[in-house]
Amino acid sequence: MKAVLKINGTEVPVKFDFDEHLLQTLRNHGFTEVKNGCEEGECGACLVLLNGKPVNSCQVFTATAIGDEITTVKGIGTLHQPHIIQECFVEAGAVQCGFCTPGMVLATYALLQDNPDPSDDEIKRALSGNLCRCTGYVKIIDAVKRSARKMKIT
Amino acid sequence: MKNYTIVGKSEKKIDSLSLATGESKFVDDFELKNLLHCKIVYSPYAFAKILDIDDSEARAMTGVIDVLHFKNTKHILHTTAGQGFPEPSPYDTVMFDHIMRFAGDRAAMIVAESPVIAARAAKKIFVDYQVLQPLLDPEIAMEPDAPRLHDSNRYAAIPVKYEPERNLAAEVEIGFGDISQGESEADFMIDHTYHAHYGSHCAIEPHSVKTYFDEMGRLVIVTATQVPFHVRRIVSKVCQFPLSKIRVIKPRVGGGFGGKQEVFLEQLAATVTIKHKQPCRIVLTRPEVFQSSRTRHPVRTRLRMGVKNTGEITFLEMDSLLNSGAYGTHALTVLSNCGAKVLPLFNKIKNLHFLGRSVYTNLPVGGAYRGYGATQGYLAVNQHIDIICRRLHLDLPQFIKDNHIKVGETSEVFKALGEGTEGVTQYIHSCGLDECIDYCLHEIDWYNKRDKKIRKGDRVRGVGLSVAMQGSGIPMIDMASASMKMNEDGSFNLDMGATDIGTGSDTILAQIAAEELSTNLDKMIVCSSDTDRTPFDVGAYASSTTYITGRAVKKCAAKIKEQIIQVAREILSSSANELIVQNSAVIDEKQNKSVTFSEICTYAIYTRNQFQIAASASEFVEESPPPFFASTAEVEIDTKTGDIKVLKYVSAVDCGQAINPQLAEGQIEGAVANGIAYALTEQYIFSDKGNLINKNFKTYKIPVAADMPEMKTKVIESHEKTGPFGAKSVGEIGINGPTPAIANAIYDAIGVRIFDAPFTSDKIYRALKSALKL
Amino acid sequence: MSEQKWYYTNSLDEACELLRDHTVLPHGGGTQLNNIDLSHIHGLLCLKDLNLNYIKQTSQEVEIGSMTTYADIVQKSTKISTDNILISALKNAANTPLRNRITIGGSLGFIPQWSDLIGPLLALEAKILLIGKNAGEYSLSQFWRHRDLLKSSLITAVRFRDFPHHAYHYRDVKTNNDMPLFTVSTLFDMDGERIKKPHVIIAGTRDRVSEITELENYLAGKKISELQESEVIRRVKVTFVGKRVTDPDYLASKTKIETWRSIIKAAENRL
Ligand SMILES: Cc1cc2nc3c(=O)[nH]c(=O)nc-3n(C[C@H](O)[C@H](O)[C@H](O)COP(=O)(O)OP(=O)(O)OC[C@H]3O[C@@H](n4cnc5c(N)ncnc54)[C@H](O)[C@@H]3O)c2cc1C
Ligand code: FES
Ligand code: FES
Repeated sequence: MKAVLKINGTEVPVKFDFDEHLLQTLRNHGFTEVKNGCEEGECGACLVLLNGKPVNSCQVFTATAIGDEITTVKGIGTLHQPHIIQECFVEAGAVQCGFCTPGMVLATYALLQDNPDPSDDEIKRALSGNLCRCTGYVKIIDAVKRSARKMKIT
Repeated sequence: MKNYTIVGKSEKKIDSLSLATGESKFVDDFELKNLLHCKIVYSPYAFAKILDIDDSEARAMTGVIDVLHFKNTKHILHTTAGQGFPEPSPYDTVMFDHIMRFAGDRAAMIVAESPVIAARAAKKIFVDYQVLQPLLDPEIAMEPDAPRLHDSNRYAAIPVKYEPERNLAAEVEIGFGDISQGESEADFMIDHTYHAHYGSHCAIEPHSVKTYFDEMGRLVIVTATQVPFHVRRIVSKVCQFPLSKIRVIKPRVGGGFGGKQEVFLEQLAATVTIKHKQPCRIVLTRPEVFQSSRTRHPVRTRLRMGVKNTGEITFLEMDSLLNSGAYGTHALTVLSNCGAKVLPLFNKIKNLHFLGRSVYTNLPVGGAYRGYGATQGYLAVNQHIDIICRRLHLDLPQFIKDNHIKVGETSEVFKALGEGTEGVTQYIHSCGLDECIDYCLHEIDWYNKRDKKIRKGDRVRGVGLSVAMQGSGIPMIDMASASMKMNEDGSFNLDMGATDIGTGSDTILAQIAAEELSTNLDKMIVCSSDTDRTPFDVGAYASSTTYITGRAVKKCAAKIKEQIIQVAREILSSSANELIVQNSAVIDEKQNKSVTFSEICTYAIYTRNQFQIAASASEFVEESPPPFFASTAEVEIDTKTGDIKVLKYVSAVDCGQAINPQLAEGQIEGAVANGIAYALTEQYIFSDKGNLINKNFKTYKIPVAADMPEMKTKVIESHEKTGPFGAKSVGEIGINGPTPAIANAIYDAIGVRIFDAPFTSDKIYRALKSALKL
Repeated sequence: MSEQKWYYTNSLDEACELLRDHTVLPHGGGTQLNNIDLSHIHGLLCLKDLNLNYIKQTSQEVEIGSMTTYADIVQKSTKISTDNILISALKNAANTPLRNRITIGGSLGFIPQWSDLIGPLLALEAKILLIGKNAGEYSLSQFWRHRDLLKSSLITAVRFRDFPHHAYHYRDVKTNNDMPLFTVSTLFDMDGERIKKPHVIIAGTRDRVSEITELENYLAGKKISELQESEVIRRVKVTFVGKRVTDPDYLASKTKIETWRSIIKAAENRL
């Protein structure tokens, strides 16, 4: 199948199979910042924002995302112009292997859009679809709190 | 404590912004044209003989390029364990065999133009299996009528005991003193058996490899590995392809924890590329990772100790039975570490005997996993001393403090037992264990909670303590190296074989170099783990990188510094002793003159007596100074359902000088999180026939943020005089704490001990129920 | 096999027309469809443009369109009382990103053993609205036993009365990112001090979903203070299949304890 997807604000022509999921399509078209950790909806490495809401791209058929706004981690900040959340993950030491980080950053972004001042509990609940095997989450939670503080100031 | 400018600072991890913005590339993020995709066909039977394979239908499919199996591949015996040469693990594996030794052993591999075609073709492979009676119980593996897994042509590459005809993958035995003497001196004996279970590393990035020929006809292997140099050696051997024509590159790796210290996919991809002259990709799915990669070895430990009423231990006898699974990867060394990393901690014991045996079974293959045997050993020992102290009404923390090894002391075990073979005598130069224990007791409010069984409705609380040590590399075996050169803006290229798998070793090694050179971290340009570009390193295992590579880097930087000073002297016309290096400059205090690094290098390159400021150095170590660790857990148990919750977990580590405290803490936090889940929810569940049932994250449960207890982690610094700037290791040790601390806390809460980990609610429920019946 | 196809439509009639072909399946959130073998079907019908993502309030009833996701239900809860059992149940179901995909239509089309939806909806005596071959309004308790009603039909909405109730939804999980091994949904009204119209539904059992009528009969008309734990426990008789990750006998005994606790908690949870 062929379609045009809206990815990070740009229209991207894509080719994909009938039962292909968005994760695969994104990766096949160069959006390798979206990671594959399980393909079963459990790990959150493949997390993207679909119309601003976090979803597991491995659980979304590409065919159903036509017309939707898709945001990957590069859509919120880049190496040369990082988002505050990305900087805060760095400062907090929340990035070890970094395989979970794009998903974590996007989950944080979505949370802070809805709730700029989340409690610890709300943070943990928001990240309930993101597995990290490296950090034990301590510094990730710290990174989310830092982000909330900094985003309020700016 | 020494005064450092960069060492000891929580500098930002140098690759972290690139990772957080999704720029960094992992193996599967590299784009290759004309890529061939593979799908492995696994044995559904725990033990079977392949009578025949019919691949004709698969081969006939459009887009299928090849099918590999035992009939068309070379049978070169090797081990997949990524260890130094000659590997201490037995040579018992070939790429494709006609005997399937566990459900998940590989029968064939499809090579196709797309992953979809490969997956479809995998269903068109018809294997004629003769199903055999599997061996699923390690306890009976050595019995005369047990099924035999391996032929006697399998062999060990080093002179160690290896008897495949008895399913014995490894055996170690050491002892000193006299057990019967110890028995007669004892007032009583404590004798228990503890079980450590299977566990999966669950690095979020699955095992991945890509291979291709570069424009010079050299085979490039881009792989998610902890051991790039061992990959090069093993692939060269198995594929009979010249080592000089292989280049291994490790890009960013999404976690390893030991799981990627295994060379079992690279040779397959290499075979395809060599044969078809086309790039090849193998990326495992999550179920494949669970089932067919490596695991934590289950170990049954029987511990017997004789004790006097005063608390003195008169003897210790440890009998460890390790289930190696279908192949003997790390079977000897993990086994050795069950004793070697555990027994020296209690070095006052005069009569000691350790017998370890690793046996083959038709179950998933064990391998390296953070903790590497020490985890399994400490699970037993920490519970055992808790039992002793309870029996004698002794204060457990004080008992540990009285009995553990101290600065200036040694243990006979160090010499008697190394990693597989004899060890190396060593003395302790640094030990902050007492401070670690005190911190953990204080933070958990030990004396107000221990034995108090604080109750709230159906729920009751308890606290537990555990201690551990580990090593810092394998003495007399591990070697690491670094090379550096200087650029005219005062920056340095730092090239190392060391393998950063998310641990931050690129960063801390750069910190070490920057400290030695009195320059800034951003002056270090790090290149690591590329067998063409960087000098040799054994890789990321045995908690060796900070200590051994760190020493190599420091030594290399010191050589660079000498050259810098020499050039500065020429520029400043100074005499030898007056120069000091500070803030990226060399200062002659007497003449009150200085010259910057940038000026120095520019001079060396362009002005006079031109040469490249460059050096390389390697290190090989004679000791392995142990880091020390203590932790306390507070648990709450629902006495009606057996549900358990860890409320708080406190850890403290003495890792010598922490090069980067934030990263050191992160290592402990990650290890502890893994350890808690290993104690509570992570387990392999098999069918009666030996098939793994729960091979996905839906059923093998690892924690998310909301599952974490309140965590307190402290790095207690000591100074290890043999370490780079006083450092020891920190990567593995934390995982040894949770299982025994939680087991002890469960006992504290409900007065029932569960000897079989993990401590799932149904087990606690049954234990409570049977205790009430008594 | 002819080429597999996606169908898009914004007309319910056309949707029904397409579904007459049994091998065309409606696609809700796709979280089940993404994980099963689709090689035998001819097409998938995307329901996104059918305007079925809504929550409506009529005088006494709430109507939720079948394309409404778990997250929408929790977030758009101004239309539903915040303490409604449905909200407390769906708030913790699956995980954050999945809740943005899982639809109630898909969940009722699939009804997995680990569903967090079926228990609360049964307790609420919900009705389900179908169009297509079996068009009509069915009580959910009738619907879930007769899954063939779904043949060539489309779930468009569920309806239930959003009356003040006492309720508690227990989910038995090993981690906070887990499908429940079982759930206990308890809901009742109070007539003065006496329990009125109690519902106790256990999902995840051998029968998928079990309504514990014997217990409901015992509870009806009793004061909370009159309830006896042993009497409650005695009446919870559910069995589990052995294949799951936890011992079925253990689960059976655990449901007893958690049911008793749920009743007590429900009594405390008054909306
Ligand atoms: C990792 C994971 C964890 C999960 N955990 C939980 C949990 O804890 N609790 C919980 O409740 N659920 C959970 N689920 C969700 C559950 O397993 C199902 O995937 C989900 O309920 C299906 O909803 P959907 O909208 O995605 O349906 P789809 O996948 O779109 O469809 C499911 C079925 O229903 C049919 N269908 C869809 N819409 C309609 C309609 N309007 N009319 C008729 N038929 C329709 C489809 O044809 C298909 O047969 C989890 C899912 C995953 C992947
Ligand atoms: S890859 Fe999608 S959730 Fe793991
Ligand atoms: S940093 Fe490695 S998985 Fe999170």
